[in-house]
Amino acid sequence: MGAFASSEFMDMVPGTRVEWRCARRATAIDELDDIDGLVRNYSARILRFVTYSTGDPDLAETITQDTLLKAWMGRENFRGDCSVKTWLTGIAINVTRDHLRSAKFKFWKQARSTALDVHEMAAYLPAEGSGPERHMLAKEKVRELSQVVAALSPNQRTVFLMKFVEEMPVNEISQILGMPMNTVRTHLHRALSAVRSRMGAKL
Amino acid sequence: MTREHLSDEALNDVLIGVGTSVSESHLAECPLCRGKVDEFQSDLGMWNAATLQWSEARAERAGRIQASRAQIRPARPRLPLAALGWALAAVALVAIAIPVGRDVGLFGAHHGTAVVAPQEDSEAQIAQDNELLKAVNAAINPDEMSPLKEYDLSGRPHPRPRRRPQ
Repeated sequence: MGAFASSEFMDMVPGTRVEWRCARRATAIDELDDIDGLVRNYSARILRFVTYSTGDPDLAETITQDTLLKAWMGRENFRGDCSVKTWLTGIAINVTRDHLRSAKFKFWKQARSTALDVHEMAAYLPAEGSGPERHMLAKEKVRELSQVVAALSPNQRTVFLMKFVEEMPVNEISQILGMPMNTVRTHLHRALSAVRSRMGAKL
Repeated sequence: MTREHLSDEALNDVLIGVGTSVSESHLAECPLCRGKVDEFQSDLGMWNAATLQWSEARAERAGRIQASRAQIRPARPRLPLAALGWALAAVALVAIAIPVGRDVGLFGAHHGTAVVAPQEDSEAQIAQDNELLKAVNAAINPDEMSPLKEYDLSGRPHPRPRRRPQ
């Protein structure tokens, strides 16, 4: 994870930044103390993020649990530089990397193939009062977008998810991934171009 | 304002949230470019809604499975299995301890297997036993001819019965 160097630089400026950060940290620590609340509020979002990062929903469940447990056990290390959601996403990225690097994961990946079921995901699209035809078209778009995102390169997919799913600003993505902002933008541009060209006239 | 549409790069910048003021003012007046941005955001919104619903359902299902496992676990009959294990261990211990204890004299002579002293038979008992043995001997007297031999019913010689020791 990035070192949040710019935040530390801001702390040197006398003023409200340090107080704001302390207040946010105190609130966040309270939130992190409640493991049930963490699971309730964040497990679905982390699960979705990790599912798309790994392409394996079963593994994503394990990583989500590991992430929340790691966050809860290391809650004293939360510095208040970012929101809890961002902090958890950063942990999830690290845990995912560890899993993907492990020999055990590589073995199981060869032994079995649990792919992301985009049809199953599209079936969860809320109807929201649209007619059956429109709903079917919408489901088709969801399915295609899922396939396109799953086909992105790991870096492009990660920054795409962080930007358009987790709604993080580019500078925060840069800090979490330890990646220069221009590199993040380049990945985002490529990801968007791939998504828009693959979706073709549908976008 | 130019009527040229936004390039792909400029559109991407807008979608990323780093669009220039020129791009923003163009979008305000160009329905085609605005439509592209809106359609992407609409599709993305649908995708986010569907995937979040999916992950919420999956997380809930995983939570339910864990909760049901946690409920099932205490109800398992662990105690009888544990008790059986301890009972087997105790039996094995006793089975080992008794012979060893006997060998080292741990239990003492009076606690060990009782050595039954032979009872002295009375004279009357001995006489009675002898009478009985004589009667048995008479019943199986070898002097009596076998009916098979007597009537020559068998070619084989009748085996002579063994004399029982008195």
